[in-house]
This record gives sequence, structure tokens and C-alpha cells, in this order.
Amino acid sequence: MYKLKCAVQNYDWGQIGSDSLVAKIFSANGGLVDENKKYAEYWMGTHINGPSYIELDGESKISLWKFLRERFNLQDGLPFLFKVLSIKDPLSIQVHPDKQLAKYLHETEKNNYKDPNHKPEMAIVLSESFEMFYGLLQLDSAREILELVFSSFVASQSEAFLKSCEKLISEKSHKSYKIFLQELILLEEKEYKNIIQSLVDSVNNYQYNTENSSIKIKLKLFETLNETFKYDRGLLFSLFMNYLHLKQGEFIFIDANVPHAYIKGDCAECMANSDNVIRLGLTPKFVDSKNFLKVKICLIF
Amino acid sequence: MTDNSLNKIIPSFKENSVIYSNPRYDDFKVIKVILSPNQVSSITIENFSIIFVNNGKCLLKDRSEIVENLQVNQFETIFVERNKELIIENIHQDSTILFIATF
Repeated sequence: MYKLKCAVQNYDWGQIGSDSLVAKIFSANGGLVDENKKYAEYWMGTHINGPSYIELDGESKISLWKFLRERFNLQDGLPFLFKVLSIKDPLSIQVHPDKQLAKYLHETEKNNYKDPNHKPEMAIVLSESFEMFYGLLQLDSAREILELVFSSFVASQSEAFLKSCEKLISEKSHKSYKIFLQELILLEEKEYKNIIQSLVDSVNNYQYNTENSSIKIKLKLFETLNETFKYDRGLLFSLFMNYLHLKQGEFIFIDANVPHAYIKGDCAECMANSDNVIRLGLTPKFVDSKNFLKVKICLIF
Repeated sequence: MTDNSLNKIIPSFKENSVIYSNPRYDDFKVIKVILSPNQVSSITIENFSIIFVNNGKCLLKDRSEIVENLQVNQFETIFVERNKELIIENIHQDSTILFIATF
């Protein structure tokens, strides 16, 4: 048994200073907390982007990866990465690639995809409550919200997109849902910003015009998210995702190809040893719509 | 739309442990151990593992080695080699909860 010294990630969405659970853990393990920094993730494992170190005695330390390689001939390190996340602002809407796509992305775009591994993950809620987007709405729910807000979607000048909206409303098929999502992802910046502006202008009317409490929650969330991520493409996609509210101790598995976004709370997360993330929106980071479309997201309803 | 049944997995329970198994792959699983005050428990660690103490504090002892107990306080993190039988003693006045990530 060895005490571990682990890396922290100071991403923008993390809780600030000692308010962050991650900072508290960092401090308990000998780290010095900067009250002005954001503490988003605490990484326990052997991933190259944030390796852990073990204390051999009071003084010297060695990387866990080197220790496993030299003492146990474990060349690839641990197969999993264990984290604690402390979330103040929403994370990006993202998917993790399966093994086949991860290998392809690593071979073709090493700068953006640093390892060739898949990244299924599970999250255990540590805070009293935890909010997230998970997966896509069922077909009927997607049609219901699209019908409600369609007059805002007309603000787009894209014929292909509008045609896909009309087909989804009239055809009620998974095929039309899939095409609609593809066209939504492909919208030009000017197009999706026009739609978002129209939604912002009309959101109170839409809330008034529906009895569906889930849609009311979703529209309220849209308004809140737009304060942080003004006119971000992800705002539109999030309307077609499931919103989940989890309680302390609850746990969710997120397989490869499942679009998701953590919104608020603390969780422990365990995953395959990878940092591969394909982002669609709600982030100032690199958004990769082209590769997001390669993911088989429409298999998950 | 606010569908809280989605992919939330019911964990399995064994004595004082909750096992959160990854349903599709063998890359990882997480075991949550909950100890009431003064409770002592043993757990077999089959593979390389990382322990994170979320609440309380405990003494850890490796049954196979003649070494002193290792006191682990709240939020401390520990690496454990494979094939170990650990004895965990809660030394907190309240429950101690720890997570063991392994594969």
C-alpha cells in the first residue's frame, strides 16, 4: 500500500479554490491550493496527461506508471482512470469514441486525440444532487419539442435543415430524426445564431404554450445556459437530449457514442484509460462537428 | 424527458460493500465500502486498485505483510498492489465511506 499524489486539472468549468471538492482532496494529499484557480478534476491513475506518483518513503516518489512497469512488467499502466469532478459550470456536450473510431482519430489527428483507446465511463454522485444531459430524446418527445419551437427554427435560411424539420414532424421515423440531427449539427454559424435569437425572444411564449413540465424545464435550462454560452450551437442540440437529475450515491454508465454533458455537482468517475473527447458545443474548447457526425449517435434513443 | 430511469444501474450489494460494475467492459469497476463506527472489515483486492476515502478515516492493514497499520484520513488516496487481503478498521466517530477503483 502506498499513498498517492495525484494531478489536478484546472479546467474553466471547475469550482473555484477551496469551494471545490477537488481542491480539498488535493490539499489532503499534500497539494497547495491557489484560491484564485479553478479545480475541476482530480486524476488517479497512469494517464500521460496527468500521471499519479506514489510515496516510496517519506521523501522520494516515483510515477505509478514507472512503478508498475519496473516491478510488475505492466507496460501500459492501469487500464482505468479514476477521477473526482467538481463542476460549477456545465461541461461541453460530448461523446467518447468507441475503440475503432478512437484508433482512427489517434492515427489521423494526433493533436486532438492523444490516445487510441475508447472511453466508456461511469459516474457516482458525491454531492446531494447532480444535473446532466444524457443521450437523445425518444422520437415522440423530440417531435413534441420541435413542433413547439418550430416557428423559431424557421429563422434559419437553410432549406435542407427546414426540410429535415418538416419531415421529422410529418414522418415520425427514426430515419427522419437522424437526418434532422445531422442537419442541426451541420448548420452554419449564422443559421444557428438566428435560431437561438428567435428562441430567446419567444421562450416565454413557448413555456406558456406547453403543459409538458419536462419541456418547461428544458426551456428554462436553455435560457440559463445561454447566459454562459451565448449563441452556442450546443444550446440547440441540448433541446433534444434527456435532462437527468441524480441524487447522492446514484450512478450512471455512459457508453461510447452516447452524447452527454455534466451540468452541475460533484461526482467520482471511473473510465477506461483515455482522454478522448469529441465535443459538439457548450465550450470554448475545440469543437469537432465533423467527427461528431462519424459517431453512431443515432443508435441510441 | 426528465427520464431518471435512463441507464442508471442498480449496483449489487455484498455485506457492507456496494459494487458498481461496468456493465459492458472489464476495464474497470468501483466498490464502495461503508463502515459504521468501530467496524472492522476485510476485503480481497484481486487486481491493482486505487482507494479514495470520501468520508471519515480508517486504518488499513495488509494481512500478508508484517507492517504497521496505515492511517488514511478523509480525501486521502492510496494505491494497492494486486492479490492483497486488506483489513479496514473505521476509526471515525461516524461512518467511513471509501471507494475502491479496480478492474
